[in-house]
Amino acid sequence: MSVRPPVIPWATPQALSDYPEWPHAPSGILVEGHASWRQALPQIDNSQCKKCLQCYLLCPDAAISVSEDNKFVIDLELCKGCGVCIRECRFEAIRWSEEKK
Amino acid sequence: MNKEKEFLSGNEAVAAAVALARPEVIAVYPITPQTTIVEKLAEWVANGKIQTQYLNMESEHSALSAVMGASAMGVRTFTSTSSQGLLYMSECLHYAAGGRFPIVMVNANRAVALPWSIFGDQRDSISQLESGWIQLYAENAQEALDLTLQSFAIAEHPEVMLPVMLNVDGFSLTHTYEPVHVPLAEKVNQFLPPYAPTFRMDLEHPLSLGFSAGPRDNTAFKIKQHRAQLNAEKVLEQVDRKYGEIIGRSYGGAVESYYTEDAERTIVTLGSISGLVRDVVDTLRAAGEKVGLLRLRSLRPFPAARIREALAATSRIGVLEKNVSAGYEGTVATHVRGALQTLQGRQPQVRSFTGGLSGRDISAKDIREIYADLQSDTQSTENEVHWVDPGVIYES
Repeated sequence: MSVRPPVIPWATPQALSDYPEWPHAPSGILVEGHASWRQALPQIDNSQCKKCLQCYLLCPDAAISVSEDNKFVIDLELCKGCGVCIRECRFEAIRWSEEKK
Repeated sequence: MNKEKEFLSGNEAVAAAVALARPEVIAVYPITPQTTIVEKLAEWVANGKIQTQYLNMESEHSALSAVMGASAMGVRTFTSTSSQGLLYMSECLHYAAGGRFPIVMVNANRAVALPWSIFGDQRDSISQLESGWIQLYAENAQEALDLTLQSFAIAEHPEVMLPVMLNVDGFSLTHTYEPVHVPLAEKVNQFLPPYAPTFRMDLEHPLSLGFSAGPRDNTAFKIKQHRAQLNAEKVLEQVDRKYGEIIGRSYGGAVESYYTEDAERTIVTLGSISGLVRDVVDTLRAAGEKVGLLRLRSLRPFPAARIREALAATSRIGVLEKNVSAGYEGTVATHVRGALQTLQGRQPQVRSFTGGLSGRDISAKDIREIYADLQSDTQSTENEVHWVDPGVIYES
């Protein structure tokens, strides 16, 4: 099973030299979490999951990754709650859930 | 050195240079007067003379997007366009410069609509000065060939990494034939080794390409992009010298001065009209008149320091361009005026001359009249555009 490369933690840049020369860099740089945009949270039912990777590939924020015990998990910092994964899942393994604010 | 010269149009000279530069991807959309560049390249791809991925796109917007994608994969890329096509690319122009993709594009300078016109002037490229691209201007077919090769070296230089737009006057250069020296492939390979990308898409070393940067971080990238442009002025002089050492021709970098050392009146211009201005300088110098020519080979980066240095002796300056920024004056004139603001102790007069719009000829007589105008003290208003032979009775 392929897994998303880990998000590399970047310190908030202070000086010009802390930034890369161009807007291309190892993933993780200048990541802004979009959790505050979310009005509802998709939840993955791993018992229904067929590991087809569609949600992993199609999530626009790369918020879905595969855990070490082979479970699909959603990064709550990155997920903006757009629901693309819910729409794309053919096995109804992802559904909206109420989120405690 | 290959001593044989070939009889080539400006566009054929560009195509010959592109073949020698060995780009791995060429993505284009045809438009007059650029078409014969890409026709020639397509012919060479078809008959196996050059090995490249040649993509005939559905629009200029797509053509530049395609070479951006290819450049992100870490290969050398080329495209070319003209006029409306350049304007259709406009969104991608900023994108390519901000993304620091070292694409080389030849723009066959042509008027922009309306009124519709296929003929040459410089309004297309000058309107895109803020796009972040390096902008170079060739005077003849030989320089178009040489600058095409130099453009790849400038764009791909690690201290630059910016796209280069080489401007070649539509028809007066693109479709005019002249003897052109085409360098040998082995010499060009020595001058321009294969592109060694500084970043590229790579499964083994994944990158987030073209990420976003909000209010906190965006300016940092623009500062770096600005510095890369400033670096480019030094790099284009280095590249020009290296080209001279290996190929045997060089042009002196961002500006070319002709009798400016003691000139009382100097015409500052760019592109193909420079040759005729040089001829008129020769004639007037023979008659004892202290006139000069300053040819700008680069508008971005704008060689302000070299312009100040070259115009140190001149008190009357006429900027001649095939462009006008309606409501003010010629944009190049505004730039030259700005460059001279920091001259210590003296403020030369700068007058803006607009001519050659939509392929209208600028004659030797017109140029003599510009030098004569610079002799007169009467300058109606500071930012009055002087229309060079507008072709109508000019009622002010």
